[in-house]
Amino acid sequence: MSTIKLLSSDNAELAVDKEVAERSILIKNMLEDVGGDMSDQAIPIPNVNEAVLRKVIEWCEHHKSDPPPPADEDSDSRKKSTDIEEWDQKFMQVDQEMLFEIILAANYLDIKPLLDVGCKTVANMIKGKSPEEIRKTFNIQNDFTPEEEDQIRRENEWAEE
Amino acid sequence: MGTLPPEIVEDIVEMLRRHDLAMLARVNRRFNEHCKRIIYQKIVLRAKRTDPNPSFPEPWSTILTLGGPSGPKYIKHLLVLCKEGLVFKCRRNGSPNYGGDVPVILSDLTSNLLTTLPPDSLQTFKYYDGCESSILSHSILQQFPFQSKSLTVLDLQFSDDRYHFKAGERYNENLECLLFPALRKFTARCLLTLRSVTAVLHIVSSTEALDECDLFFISLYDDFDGIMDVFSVCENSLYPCLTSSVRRLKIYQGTSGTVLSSPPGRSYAVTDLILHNPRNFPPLLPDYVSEDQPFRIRRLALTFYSGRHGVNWEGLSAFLENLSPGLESLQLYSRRTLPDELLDDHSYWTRGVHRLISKQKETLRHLNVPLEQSPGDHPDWNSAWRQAVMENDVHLESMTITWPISTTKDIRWSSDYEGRLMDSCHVEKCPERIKLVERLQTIQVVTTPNIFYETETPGSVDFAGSVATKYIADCIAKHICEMVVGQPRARFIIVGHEAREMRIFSVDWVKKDPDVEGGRDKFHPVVEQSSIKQMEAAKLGVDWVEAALWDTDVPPDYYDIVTDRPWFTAPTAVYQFYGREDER
Repeated sequence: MSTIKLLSSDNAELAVDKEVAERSILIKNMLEDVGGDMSDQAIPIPNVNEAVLRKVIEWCEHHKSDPPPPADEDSDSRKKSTDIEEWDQKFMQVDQEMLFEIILAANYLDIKPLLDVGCKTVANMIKGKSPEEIRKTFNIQNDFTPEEEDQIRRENEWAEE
Repeated sequence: MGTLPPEIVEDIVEMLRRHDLAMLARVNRRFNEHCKRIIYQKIVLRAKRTDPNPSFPEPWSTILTLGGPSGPKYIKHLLVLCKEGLVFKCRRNGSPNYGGDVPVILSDLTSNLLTTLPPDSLQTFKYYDGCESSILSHSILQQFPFQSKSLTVLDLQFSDDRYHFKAGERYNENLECLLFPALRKFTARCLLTLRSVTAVLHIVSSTEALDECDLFFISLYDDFDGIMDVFSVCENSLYPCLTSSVRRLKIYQGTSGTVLSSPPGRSYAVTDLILHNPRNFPPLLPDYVSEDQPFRIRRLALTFYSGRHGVNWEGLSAFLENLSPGLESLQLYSRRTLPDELLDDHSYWTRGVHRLISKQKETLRHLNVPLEQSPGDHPDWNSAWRQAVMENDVHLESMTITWPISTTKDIRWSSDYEGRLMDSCHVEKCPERIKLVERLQTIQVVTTPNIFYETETPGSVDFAGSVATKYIADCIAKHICEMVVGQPRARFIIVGHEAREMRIFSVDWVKKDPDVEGGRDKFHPVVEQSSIKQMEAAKLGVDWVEAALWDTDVPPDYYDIVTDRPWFTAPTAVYQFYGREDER
């Protein structure tokens, strides 16, 4: 099994099986573009630091045998459920900053299943919370005026019935 | 979450259920915008599942929604979402439990939310449903945004004591406060009761800028004499209510041709006049022929569908003949059996048609005269029109003709029917039709295949009916293919009982007719075991296919308000063909 090297934004070089790395569509396409031979040269991943890259590689190694998502998969069907596998749940038990970094990395590296797991984790963090709790959880500033807040609350009463 | 890009936030938002969406929408402005769009999409998706044939606009625009007991909950939110207007379309789904709490919910939600809208945000307001009129009287109408330009109320049910309807008792109490100074278009469909008429007339009279007025009065009673009182109120009260701004007047039932005899010295601006089922046609009055006649009609549509009064053909003929020059469109549809002498070459009708066409030939562009007739009576109602058109060299853009086939409740399916049908449809025997087709941009052929199951098994679809329908459709389709040789565009519409029953159209015809000139593979309409969906699928095989619900027991106009279908489309099967590339 061939190995390739990835170069993180903070200049850490990580060796990874090609098969694992190719969970990333971005890397897979890059390898195809250069004819598959990158054994002596590290692929730069400028948007992802070493810590996050290690987490992403860890996820890819665990899921290296998963079937690739169908090319024509309806994006709606992916978003219907927020159920997360047990291993992924544990994997995502990180601080919020790392969680968002993983999501951003998955987005950049084009690893849709990992991106979905990250989004589902965030969605689950929102579920059942009040607006104030959501603000607190994600450190969001309330920019509504009191009048607007009252109006928005009335607009959305329907969903609470 | 502020560090995540918008597309990822949207992905996350889409994973939430509506309760959590509602919470997130209250977090800050950014999430509010995200959530509104997603909520709207969720509503639309839900509505699509409940409505077999929905029509949805782009988000943030005019319409929506929808049926089922949960409809009001969504409507409530749409009130907020829709910027330009709204359609309430709470269909009754046949469930006895459905009607129960819906009016209450609607009433509450409109009370709560209509007042929160900016005054000019809801410019079009449509209210659908047969819910109790108390909703209208107590909530919607009273809180209707003052500056709204268009109001549609359907199935308005105001009772008269006489008919023991319970709804609407309090309407009159609140009538005085209902003013619509900005209303430009008013559409109402209501029971023909004194209170309904009074309510409608009040709205009409309280407008100053009304441009279009569509009123449809439904008579559900056998007690015709009682209804006559209401007719009188309508006739005597409606026209004085009309302001000089009304240019398009459309009245379904509840009136007579006396609309045309306006009060002396009164001038109306109506140029588009549409009367459905006037209970009689006016006698010829001097006003019609005078220079200062009150109406200068450009588009006239008359339909005679049902009712106990016959058509005053002589009065109608005289009226048409004496219309001022300038008529652009004439539509005339009747299910009446014609008197025997009417279509004689020398009859007043035939002569009147010729004079009408001759007088209007400079401006007349649309002539739609489908007549449902009985076999043996007057199989060629069209001939007078056709000959008049040809002889006067009228440059029509569209024409609707009645197919001269036998359709009657008295005829049963028989082996010789097909032969007669084919004979009467054979193109070589109708050369004038070919000429017409060459000149027309649109031809609409109307027939009534569904008439058969009225004789076989009323109210149901049976084998004979299916066969009859299929054969008729086959024959007509085949003939039309012959008739429109060289016409590149076909538009195929199925309307009628068949569409409603869904199973009767087993039309499978003319995939490729080698006899057609050049063997052109023009028509592939295959509609098998039809359902609306399947018909839609058949769009792939033909240029255009449409199916609509129709019921021969109610006037075609009944659905018109809902579907915006041309009012003159008969409750039958309609095949419409376009003859020019640029007509699509």
